[in-house]
Amino acid sequence: MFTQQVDLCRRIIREHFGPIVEKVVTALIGDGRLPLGAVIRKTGLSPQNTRQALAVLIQHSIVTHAESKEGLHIVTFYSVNLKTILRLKRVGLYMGLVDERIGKEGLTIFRTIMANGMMSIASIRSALGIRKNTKANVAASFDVAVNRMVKERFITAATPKDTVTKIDRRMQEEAKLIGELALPPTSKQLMEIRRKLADQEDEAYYSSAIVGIKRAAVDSDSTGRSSKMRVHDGPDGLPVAQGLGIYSNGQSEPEAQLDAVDEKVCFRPYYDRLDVLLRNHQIANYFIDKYNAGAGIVVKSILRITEPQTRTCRDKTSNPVSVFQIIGNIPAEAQLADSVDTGSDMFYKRLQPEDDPMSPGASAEAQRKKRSDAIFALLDVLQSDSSGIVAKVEEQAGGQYRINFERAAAVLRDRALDSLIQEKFGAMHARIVRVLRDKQKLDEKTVSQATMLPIAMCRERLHDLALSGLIDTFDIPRTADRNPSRMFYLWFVNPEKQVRSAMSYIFQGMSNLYQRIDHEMAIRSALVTKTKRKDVIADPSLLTDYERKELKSLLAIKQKLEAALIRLDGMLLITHDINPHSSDLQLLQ
Amino acid sequence: MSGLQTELLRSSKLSKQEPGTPPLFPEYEPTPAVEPSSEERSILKLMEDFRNEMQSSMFFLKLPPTPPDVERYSDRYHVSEDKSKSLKELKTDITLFPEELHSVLTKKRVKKSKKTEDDGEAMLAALQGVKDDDGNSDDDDDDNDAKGNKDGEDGEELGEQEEEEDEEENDYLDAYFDNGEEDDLGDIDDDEGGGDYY
Repeated sequence: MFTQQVDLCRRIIREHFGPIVEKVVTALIGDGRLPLGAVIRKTGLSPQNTRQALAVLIQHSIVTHAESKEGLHIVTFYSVNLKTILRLKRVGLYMGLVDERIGKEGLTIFRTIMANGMMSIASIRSALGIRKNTKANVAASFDVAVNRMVKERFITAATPKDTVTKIDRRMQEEAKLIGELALPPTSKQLMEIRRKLADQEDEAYYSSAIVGIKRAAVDSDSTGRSSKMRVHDGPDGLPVAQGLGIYSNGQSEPEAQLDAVDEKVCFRPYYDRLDVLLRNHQIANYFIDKYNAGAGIVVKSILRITEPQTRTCRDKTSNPVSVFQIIGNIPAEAQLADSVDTGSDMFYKRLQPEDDPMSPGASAEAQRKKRSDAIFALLDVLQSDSSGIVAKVEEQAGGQYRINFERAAAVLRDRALDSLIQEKFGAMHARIVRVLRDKQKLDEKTVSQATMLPIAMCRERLHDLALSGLIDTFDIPRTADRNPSRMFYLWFVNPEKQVRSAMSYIFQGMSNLYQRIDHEMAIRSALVTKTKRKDVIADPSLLTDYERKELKSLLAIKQKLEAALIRLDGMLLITHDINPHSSDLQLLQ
Repeated sequence: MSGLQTELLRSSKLSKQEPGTPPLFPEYEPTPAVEPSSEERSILKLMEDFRNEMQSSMFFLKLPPTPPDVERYSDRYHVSEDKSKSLKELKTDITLFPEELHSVLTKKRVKKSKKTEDDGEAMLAALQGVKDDDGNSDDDDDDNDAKGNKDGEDGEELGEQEEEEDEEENDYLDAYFDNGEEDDLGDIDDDEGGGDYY
């Protein structure tokens, strides 16, 4: 945990839930696990307010609870999850993603669930005013949107296990298994028990069953509308609600097995899955920046195909994808011909008009061949890229490709850190870090030669970076007594330490931005209060010219500061959240 | 030495900073702020809407506002905050919460007091009894009194139960109630040598 992170989390909670919940969160962050009585004592709030605050936090999956037997009593301890608090800052990105993938209906549903923490489908339906007498197409599009969101895991079922603190849950399961043994366990038995529990967790993680959705049998004689929605997949793979009669392409619905979403199960946003989609977006943008839009389209199609199997950012590689799947998944209107040179020499080859794919009279076959050639060429380019993100795993039948998420996370992280170092320190410092990252451990003289800097300047910059924690030293003693004056000091980049240092800067920056926003609002508080008056809302001309100008300036400043917050949060996503080993690093505990 | 050289020397002698030391505030050119792109603006709009929704929801807990010190002309134009929804109206799965928090999420059923109805009926019966049977008025009165007392006791019991249910939600009892167990009253019947007064 970082000191700056505590202040940032406090401000986020105050912005969304108010000062009472902020006090409770501050107490829990400061002291870790606390029972209800201790929270009341530390915060100085009334028991009623404290209980309400804890209920709000559990509803939004920010606090988890666990029961512990203390003597004759069973005491409930509460712990706060900082990662979930920081995710509240990313709500705009998540909503933009849902809007892009699912549409306006999905956005409305997602926003309702986000605002309420967790909600059942029946409650969402009543909150949005969808009743039995609502128009059939509105109800059907709602059903389709919900089904898609559950199937694509934008939302996931909230089970009682999710609200229990993970460490306590593991300890209870471990204690249960130890209790089944006749004698106290040996270290080997304990390791076996822990391995078994970890395997059970992995099995549950990789299970393809989606909680809250089940296949319902088709009953062709049923005339009444059941409480479960009836949705099935159309020919384009997207769900279609039963009752519409025809698909978008004019075909009629066949009788098939239908999926149903349980309306009584509570659903909450699945942040880990949404982070996967944001990561995929960043990977595609990397290739668009490095090459062109065509390369980005090919990478996007590979990522889209592998999305159903990718649960969270913990996965290190994707499943292999064949070339024909990639070709089939690229939209028909995507322009790929200009993206890459396929090697066909137009100067020596005189094409007939029907064979020239660029001519209006070209045959469909020629166009298809040209398109396939472009995709093959782009895949060759991506596979030979120095980043190693796209890897070819199979040569037969055109080849199979997979995405190495671990490499992608490292490449994106290095790019983000380089830009941070350049902004904060300067171009020379960034050059030194790039050289050290490429060449691993180097002494001062070699760094100076590699970066083409005078040795005095190089030494100064190396020490600046070391003080900030962005590079580290490795000592090689020359003598047995390890005399510091007779040691080789090699400079190198320690990625974990670099990430830790960068995160402290990011949290500090975000906290500063919040403070600045509060300050700008505070110095114009009288104006802001005036704009909320009933008479001013009804008649904006009551504001003077100066007040209107000030208000416009305030909105512009606030927009710039909030945009900076989004960018810093994006940097946090890249440096930490998409790293497959971030849970091992435990930097956000 | 020329006049210019003398001046430069004088200025370097009079300056507080020694030559060769770095300046106290080195020159810093802030990088120009990048304007938000259209995509960022749309995300900001979504975040603003979400923030407003959260701040007007039942989850935004705030302390009651302090009463104004002076009455102001603009007070009549302030938008009065709608009575915020209580958490008891939240539709959620209660099994996800520990038992000690259930009290803030569930509505307690309050038993309706039948005191008024019984009292009214008892009074009617009593009046009718007085009107019809003047001869047996004593007996009727006794019966009605007994019934009325019984109803009164029942009503009082129900009232006490309601009070107990209300009292469970706060710790008023712990802070203020004293059931007198710790009082040392001595012998109440001891008149300490005084006589009886009629």
